[in-house]
Amino acid sequence: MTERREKLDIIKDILESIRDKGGSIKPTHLLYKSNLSHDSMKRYVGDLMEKEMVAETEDNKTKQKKYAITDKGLKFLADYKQVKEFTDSFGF
Amino acid sequence: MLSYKAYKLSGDPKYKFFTLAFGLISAAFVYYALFITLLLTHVSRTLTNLVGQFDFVFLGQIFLTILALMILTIVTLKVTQQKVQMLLLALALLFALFSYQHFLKFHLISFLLLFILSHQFYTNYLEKKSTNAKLVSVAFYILAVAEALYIAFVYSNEFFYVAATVVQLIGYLVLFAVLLRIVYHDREKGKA
Repeated sequence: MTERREKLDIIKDILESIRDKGGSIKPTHLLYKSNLSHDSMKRYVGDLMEKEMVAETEDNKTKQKKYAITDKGLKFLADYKQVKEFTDSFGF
Repeated sequence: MLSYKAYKLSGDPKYKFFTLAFGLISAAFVYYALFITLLLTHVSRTLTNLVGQFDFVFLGQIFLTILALMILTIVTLKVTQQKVQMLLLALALLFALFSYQHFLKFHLISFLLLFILSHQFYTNYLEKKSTNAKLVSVAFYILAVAEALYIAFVYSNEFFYVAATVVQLIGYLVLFAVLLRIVYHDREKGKA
């Protein structure tokens, strides 16, 4: 049985998916990469947009909606390891 | 600090309460140290008399510490029902504050809570097998031992009080070492 992912891990997975795709990703790709339901992904992305870690952009050629990682999102990924080590030490 | 960072990153309230718990523990020590310094330096006769009559310095420390340890226990044991959380808090505070033998009951409750926390952190260590998780568990066992020594002091001599204070200091230093390990380990990795 797989372990339930913590909120922090889900946020990290979403941001890593965007970063690894060169900084922006299509919503359908993110849905596949993040391994979340459509509703959950929308909720998490909405939350991340509110926290200014992710921004909604438009592809220049196709005019398709995309999600881009911001500097704040990149900073989260840098801080994540430290925070993860802390949460693991206390079993959160 | 790290807990607050985790709260800012995830928005998960458990990290907020964890920050609050350690903030309260620090506040309890600062509060107690401040009043004891004021009393020992005899700044105010009124203050000395007031403390002598009502013992509110120690009661204040009891309140802050029990509140902190109970919040830590609730967060660590993942007690999610608000009614249960309130009940646990009320029972611990009522038992410690509204009775005689404050000193004994305060350290008895602290010992029980710290023992539960130590066991929980030990279970976490068995799962994670990391040095930091082991150190957190060891630190809380040491803090529990310190409480046991405070209890022993009630039935014995001053040696146990001094020993308890030293052991408690060691417990908090081990926790501080964990914090340094996390912060500096990350920085070292960043440099590499």
